Parts: sequence; structure tokens; C-alpha cells
Amino acid sequence: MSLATTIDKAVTAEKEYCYHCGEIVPDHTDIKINIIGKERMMCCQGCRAVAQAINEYGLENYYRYRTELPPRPESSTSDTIPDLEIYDNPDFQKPFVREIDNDQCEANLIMEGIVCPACAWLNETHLAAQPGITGVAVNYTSGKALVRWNRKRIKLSEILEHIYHLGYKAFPFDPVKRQELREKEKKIHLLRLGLAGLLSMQVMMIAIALYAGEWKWIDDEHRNFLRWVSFILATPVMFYCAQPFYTNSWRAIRNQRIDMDVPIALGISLAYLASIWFTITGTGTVYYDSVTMLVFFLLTGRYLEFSARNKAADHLDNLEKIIPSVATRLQQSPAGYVEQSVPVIELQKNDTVLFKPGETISIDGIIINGNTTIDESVITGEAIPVVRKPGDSICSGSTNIDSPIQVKVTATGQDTSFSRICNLVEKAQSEKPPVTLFADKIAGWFLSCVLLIAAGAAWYWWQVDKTMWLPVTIAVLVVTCPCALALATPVSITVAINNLLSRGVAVIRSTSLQAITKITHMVFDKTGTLTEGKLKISRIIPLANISQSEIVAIAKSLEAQSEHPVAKAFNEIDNANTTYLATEIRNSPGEGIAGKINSKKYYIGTGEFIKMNIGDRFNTALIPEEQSEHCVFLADDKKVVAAFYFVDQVRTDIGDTVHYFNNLGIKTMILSGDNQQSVSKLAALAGIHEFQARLKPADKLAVIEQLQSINASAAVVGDGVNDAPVMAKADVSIAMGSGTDISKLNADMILLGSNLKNLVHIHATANRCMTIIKQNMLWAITYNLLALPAAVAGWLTPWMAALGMSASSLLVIVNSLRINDYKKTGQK
Amino acid sequence: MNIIYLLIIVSLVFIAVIVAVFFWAVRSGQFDDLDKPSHQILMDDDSVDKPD
Repeated sequence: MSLATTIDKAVTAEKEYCYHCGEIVPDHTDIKINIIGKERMMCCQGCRAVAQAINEYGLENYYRYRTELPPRPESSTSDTIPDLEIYDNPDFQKPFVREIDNDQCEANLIMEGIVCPACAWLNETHLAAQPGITGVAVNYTSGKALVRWNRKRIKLSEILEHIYHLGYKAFPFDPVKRQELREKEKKIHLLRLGLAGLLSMQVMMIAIALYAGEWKWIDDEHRNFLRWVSFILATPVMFYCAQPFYTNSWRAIRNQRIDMDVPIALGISLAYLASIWFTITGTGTVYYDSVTMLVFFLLTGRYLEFSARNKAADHLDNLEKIIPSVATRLQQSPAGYVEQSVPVIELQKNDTVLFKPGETISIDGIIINGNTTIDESVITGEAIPVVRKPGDSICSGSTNIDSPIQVKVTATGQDTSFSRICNLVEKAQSEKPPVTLFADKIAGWFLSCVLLIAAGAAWYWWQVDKTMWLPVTIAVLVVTCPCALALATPVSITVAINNLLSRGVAVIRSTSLQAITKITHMVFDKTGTLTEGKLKISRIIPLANISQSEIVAIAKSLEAQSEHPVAKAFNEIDNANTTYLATEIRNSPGEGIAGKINSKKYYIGTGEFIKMNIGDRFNTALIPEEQSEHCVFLADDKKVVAAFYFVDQVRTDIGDTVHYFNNLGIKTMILSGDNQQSVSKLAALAGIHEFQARLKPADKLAVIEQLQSINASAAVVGDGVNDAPVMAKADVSIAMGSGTDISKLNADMILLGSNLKNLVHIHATANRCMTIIKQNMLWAITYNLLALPAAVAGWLTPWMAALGMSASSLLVIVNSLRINDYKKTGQK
Repeated sequence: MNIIYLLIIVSLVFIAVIVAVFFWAVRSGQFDDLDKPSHQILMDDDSVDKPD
């Protein structure tokens, strides 16, 4: 090809973009394919293969509906698809493939490359069309797919291959693997951080020699040598350690945003490139020290944030274990019911299922046979089990406690209330008001200004004095490098997060530190949050002539067999005295227990239960006036022997904590699903003025929304799945460390030790953190406002600018470390 | 002053060794659990040997 024709082609060829992936089509490529009635350019064979596949399967609508471009497939001609046959090995399949029935299998897959809902649609439609695949659902948000297939008609490797042909990647979902990935990520973080720390210290050391040389006098030869050494030391930091900043800012720019990483990436790469230039030419000043230090400090912040997030992610895996995967189905046969163990996913509406005591309910249904108590704490958050009899409905996620029950299925899978609560969480999450950081906005805006000013200064000095323009431009860019601004927020937040972590508070989302300083309401859940969710005997009142230890011994023996929380409360009494062997135990779930001790009949249970058994001899006049919510009586066959009162143990420190918030004018509030009486009692005890009882999750959500509509801002402290939607909607959500797993996923912070006093620490530390951030910002802005004109005027040499910037950054960091001083001043 | 050519090169070698050791330490899991090992020395685990 002659030079003329090459140029000709370059000039005439308009830049073509690949119709599939949006990359620029290389000049000499001519791959076309007909999509939606038009010839479309493709940039590579990989895209062509994918587009053709999409076309052939009649899925062109993907191109109509997609909102994001897919990643460019890694040339997915069939010979580059990895060896997938290993996935057909039964041993390999065991951990992630579930067998539903003889040939039906099911597996969760992680999909890579799902960037828009159209991707999910594309995969779903294509897979569903394949013979042998009986079901497929691709979740766009989680990037996971659930695939069901007939083992005899299609192999798992073939399914994966289909996905690869579409240009996506799929591999089996397996919590162990996810854990491995997280570990790997953590190690990379640590390597980057450690390397940056080591090297930045070396660069700093050499920088001192350079600054001293600049001040007194240094041989050019020595100076150049020291610069080359700094260059060698700084280069790995720039290319390895700082990599996340480049990738993040590139992603931000591609999405037309400017985030904190953009100024950082731009700042460090400009200073680095200028330094290289000055190193080569032996002129000017180098900024290797400032650049490496900056990278090190920023990575420290990122690492600490990552660690805190990781702690919460561990709990995510446990959530999926709540619902069991196998259930016992009862099959009607001429001889009666036959028990049959089947996967939960197989269950249909109107099937009859048997749940034994201790089993977790996997479906929604109606009890058709059997009396029992059910622990619904996962759903309602209230720890006291409820009585359920035939005709009552039960929901998945709860646990059967006392006796076996037969249940008619009303809803399975995604339709169960448990799933619906989970979905509610997801929805509330996506509606969460974004708390964007002030610094992010400022830094982005600031950077654009600085770039303009630098360009203006360069232009001005080019006209006036050609030798000055480069040092001035560099000085402007460096002295106003948004370092002090960019460091101000992350370092303070890092220190605050670390400080809180050492007190037992895991901060999951750092933005919540800002949000919590603005709250006007502090909302508490009751059971499990203000109380421990465990029953404890508060009083024993003997009503007959029997000693207290004897009463306890009898009650304890009767209750020994039961798993009910009341029984557990008895078991916790240390009574070394005597224990009896109770015989002929008869358990009426939710009511009481009857049994024989030393051939004498005893009853223990609710007032109604006793009345039912000993009739009128249950003299109500005997019962003390004080009515507690949980009261149990012990009777022999003639008279009532004793009354026991129970309380749900209130957490310690609750009074001080509430007092602290009340003093600050933050309204404290209880939202509970429990009854009016017990909530009001607790509110009075804690000093909380506002409370609402008997609320369902949706009601709680409504209360928070109503608060937010009047510009109030609420922090919610909760525990249990029923709080999860509320917590996701709240401005700040704080979960108790002992709470149900799901609530942790949506919490901004976790009280690891379930210590309520830590709420005070959170609020105080966050306040202090925000004060210091403001000081830092004020300093950074003042400094920049003073330094910028000086640099533009040419009064600052680049090395002065670099020194000024480093000193400014250092001041910010030292100031941020003062957050730790709170320990001394705050605990008066 | 020309001794700095030697000294700095030597220190670069040292840094390289330190970095190599650090990478080895992270990759071999020395930093995986920073809480347990410090307590482990106080735990009696004489009974770990399974009798079988």
C-alpha cells in the first residue's frame, strides 16, 4: 500500500464505532453484520460472533432495549472458551448443583458482564430457548442466575458454553469461592498499602536530602543521582499501588461523573510526569515524595474501610442458610400418609408438608393438623414464640418449637412473606437518599477551576516571560493539588472508623458518619434492641405453704423437657437443691405442662391452663394485683402453689444513652411490634417520651417516611428482619451485633458488642469527626486561596509549592488524628 | 561524597529484600488473622491429638 493511499484512507474514513461494544473500529477492519435491517460495523471477530449469535437466536431486540454497552468479548471464538467439561464431573458438581428429582438439576451461577437489564433479558431468553433447560432467572441486581435443567438432555458445560457464546462469563456460585475471592482482594489491598508505605518512606528520606541541597548547595551530579533513585522508588507506587485510583476515575469519567479519584489520579500522574521530565532534563523540582505519600495515605483509608465492610459481608453468606432446602411432603396413599423427603423448590400450592419440632419452616402455609408454638423472631423480631393451632397460618423463616404439624402450602419460593420482606429491603435500598460528601463535590469543582487557572497562568507567562511558564504552571498545579482537600475527608473518616472499631462499632458505610450528626430522631426497636430478647424470672411468689426452693425444683423438673423460652428461664436458675423425675408429662403447647412428681399431679402454665385443670379451685383472689405480661402459675391438683413473673431483660446503659440524646434535643422514640403495655413500661423506664406499639414492618416504614417528609432525619437502631426495610429507609441504620443476619446487610453501622452505650460514642465521634473535617476543609481552602495567587504571580518556585502542599497535607493528617483524643475528653 | 553511590545502591538492595519478604508474608497468609495467634499461646491445646 502506498503512502498516499494510506493517508487517503485515514482521511476519508470516518471514525466507526462497533455496533456491539461501542469501541472504535480499527482502520483496516471490515467486519459487517446485518442487525435490525442494516449493515453494522463490528470491531473484532469476538463482537461479530456474539452479534451473530444474538441475531441467529432472533434476539435482536436486545439492541433495541439495552441501556449500557457490553464489555468487549475476549475474542470468543469457540477455541478460546475455557475447558468447561470439568463442570460435568458429578464430584465437582456436588457443592453447587442441587438435584430436584431424578433428572432435574438446579444451580446458582454468578454471571460476569451483566451491565444492564437487557443483558439479563438476553441471557434469560436465549437460555430458556435451549432444549433441556426447564427454568432460568437472571437477577440483574445481584448478577446471579438460577438455572434448572434436565440432566439427560443438556449438560451443565453446554449451558455455560451458551452463555460464553453470548459474550458473558458464568461460573458456579459457591460461598466458599466468594470467601476466597474476598481473601484475595484483601491481600492485594495489603500488598499495595505495604509497598506504598515502604517506598514512600524511602522517597521521603531522599527528598529531605534534596530539599536541604536546594537550600544550601548540592552538586548537580549528586542531585540528579538522588532524583533517579527517587524515580526508581516512586515508579512501583505509581504503577502498582495507585492502580485503583486510575481504574476508578476512568470508570467515573466514562459515566460522565467526577468523583474523588479523578482529581487524585490527575494530580498524581501530572506531578509524576513532570517529575520524570525534570529528572531527565536535570532542571526544575521533583515531587516524587508528595506523590508517594499521598498514595500511601489514601490507600490506608481505603484499606480500613474495606476491612470494616468485609466483616459484614461474612454474615451475608449465613443468610442463605436460614431457609432449608429439603422438606417432608406427606403423600396421600390408601394406607394413610406417606412421608417423602423432597426439595423445597418442588413443593406446589396445596401440598401437605410435615414440620417436626426444631425444623425451620420453608414455605407459607396453613396448619391443618397439630398444635404447636412457633418462633417467629426472624420475621417479627419478637422473641416470644406464639401459639399456632389448626387453621392458623405460618410463614417461612420461622421455627417450629413444640410438636409436629401438618401444613397446607399456600406460597413457595419468591412468593413467601420472608422473600417479600427481603425484596422490600432491596426496594427501600434503591430509594435510599444519597448522602454525597461535600468534599467530593468541592474537589471536583475545585479541580476544574484549578485546571482553568493553570491554563490561564501558562498562557499569560508564555506571553510575558517564556522561561517562567512551565515552573509557574507546575507550581499552580502542585500547590493547589487537591491533596489537602482530598485528604481532609478520608483521613478524618478513617481515623473515626478505626476509633469506633476499637470500641466495638463496625462502620459499614462511611457516609453514615456525616448523616448521624444531622439526625433529629433516634428510633429504637424494642425486643432485642432495648431488651435482650430473653426471658428471665423476676419474681417468685409462693401462694401455699411450700418452700421457695421446693417450688423451683418442681417447676424446673416439669419444664425440663420443653424448649419454650419460659422453660429456658427456669433452666437458668441455679438450683443445686433437688431435682425430681417428672413422669406422665403432658405438654399443651403455649399453655402449660402437666406431670407427675412423686405420684402427685402438678400443673404449670398460664392462668387459663390452670383453671382448665383444677377448675374453680383456681382462686383469682389469690393472684397479686400486679399484672405482668408474662405470668405462669404452678398448681397441684387442689390449689395454686406459686406464681412466677417473667421479664424480658432490659439492656444496661439504656438510661444513660437515652439521656444523652434527650439532652442534645434529639427526640428518642420506640417503634415496636409488641403490646402497648410492655412498650409503655419500657419507655418510662428508659426515659423515652414517644412510643408506638403494635406496629407491623410496613407501619414502621410509614412512620420513618412521615418523619422524612417533614425534613426530620432519623437514625434507626434495630434487630431482626422486620426492621430491615425500616433500616434501609432510615437516614442512618444501626444494627445490634446479635441481631438477625439480614439486618446487618442493610445497616450502616453494627454494634458488635450489642452495647447501647456505644451509640453515644458513635454520635460523639461522628460529631468530632465532622468538626475536624470542617477545620481541615477550612484550612485547605484558606491555604489554597493564599497559595494559588502566589503561584500564579510567580512568587513560588515549584519546590516551595511541593513543600507547601506536603506541609498542608501533614497538618490535615495530624489534625485528623486528634479525633482519637475524644477518648480522654469525651468520657468525663 | 562519592560513597553515597555505593550506600544508596546498597539500601536499594535492602529495600528490594524487604519488599520481597513482605510480599511473601502477605501471600503466605501471615496477615490473614491478626487477632487469634496472639491469644493462641495462652490456650491449652494439649488435647488436640485425636485418639484414633
